[in-house]
Amino acid sequence: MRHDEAFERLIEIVSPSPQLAEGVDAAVLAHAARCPTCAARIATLTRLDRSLLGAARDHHAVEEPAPALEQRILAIPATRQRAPRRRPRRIRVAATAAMVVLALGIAVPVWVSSRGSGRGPVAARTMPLLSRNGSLTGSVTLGSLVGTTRAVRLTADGLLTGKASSYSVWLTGPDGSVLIRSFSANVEGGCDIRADAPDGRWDGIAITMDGGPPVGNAILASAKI
Amino acid sequence: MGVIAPLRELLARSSNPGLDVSDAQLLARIAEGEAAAFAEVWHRYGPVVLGMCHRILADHGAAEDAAQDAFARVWKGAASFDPARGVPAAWITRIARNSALNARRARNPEASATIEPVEESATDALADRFWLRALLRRLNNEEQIAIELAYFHDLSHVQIAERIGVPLGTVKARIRRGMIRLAELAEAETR
Repeated sequence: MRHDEAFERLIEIVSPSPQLAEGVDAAVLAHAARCPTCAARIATLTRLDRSLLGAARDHHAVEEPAPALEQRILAIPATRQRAPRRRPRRIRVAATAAMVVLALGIAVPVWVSSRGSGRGPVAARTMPLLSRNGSLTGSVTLGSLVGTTRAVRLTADGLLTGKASSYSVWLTGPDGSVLIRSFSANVEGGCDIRADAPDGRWDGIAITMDGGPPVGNAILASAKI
Repeated sequence: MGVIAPLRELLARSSNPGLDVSDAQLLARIAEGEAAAFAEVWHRYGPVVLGMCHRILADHGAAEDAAQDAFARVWKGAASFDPARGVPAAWITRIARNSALNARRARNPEASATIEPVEESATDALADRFWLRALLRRLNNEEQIAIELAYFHDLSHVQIAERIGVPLGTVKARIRRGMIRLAELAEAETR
């Protein structure tokens, strides 16, 4: 018997349970006895069969999550910061040294210029929101990076009112897009919302309606960042 | 429309990790900040995590909060997962159990003294079941239902055929294909 033929039929010889034992072919047994690949597969199938029989005792312990819980869980990436990946010590030392140099490079000129002009450093940038059909006006303010996120503030007017009209704020970039906030307009058709934007290669912010992805005509308004 | 639909669209559109990606690979991708990988881990492990939290807390709302806490820890701590110290299922099992026990202590501090220690073998068995459940959720619906009816409801192949209204041969084929697929996924997980 060829290996691939026997391999396909290993399931027949694995389980003593009546669910799977459907008659064992002697040729399959003979091949499996001398084939290490088949032996490994038999070990896996045996483990699975035993685990399934064991899990049968507590199968009620599995609970399908409610949609509301799923919504809360799937929103976690957009709302919570991750612990930064720990880098090797040499890289950490080099990165720390570079950050000190960079901080001094930024802080000293800023300190000098602020002494001269009396104004502090600018921590945020504000970009106009460009509407697809001109009905929506507003701006996006992007804060400086803190840890792994930066604050985003969106103010806009000309939105549809009512809770049935849901808007979504997306970060867009060459690597894809990510939803950072959903919202409804206030009674005056405006909004002033804040969200945390994860660090990444983002080059724009897009507003869509009813959860639509930020592609083509679904983009009601956008800002380049 | 809420957040789920756009996220689902996002998953479908972007680099959806898919069913063939191992748990360890998913955790590595979560560590890089990939929301789609996080959603896939939720799909695989959500029901078992919620089930365990419910069993420990005996309260549906508290169990949901504990499950949310557990997955927030998975998102935040994926970079700390070390494959050399165990399989992802065991790591997720520990996180879920700790979240549920913390919630139970917070609800009833006096009961914390009575929380029984769990032996290593029991934790291993639990992790094994978590892992199996996650594997089952990677089968297609037809195969998953056939295997669950056979093992968890102790139905014969004939009874399954009658229950779901398909020929006996189809039931046998689905169980057979499902078991082979489970074996392939299991081997990929432990490679």
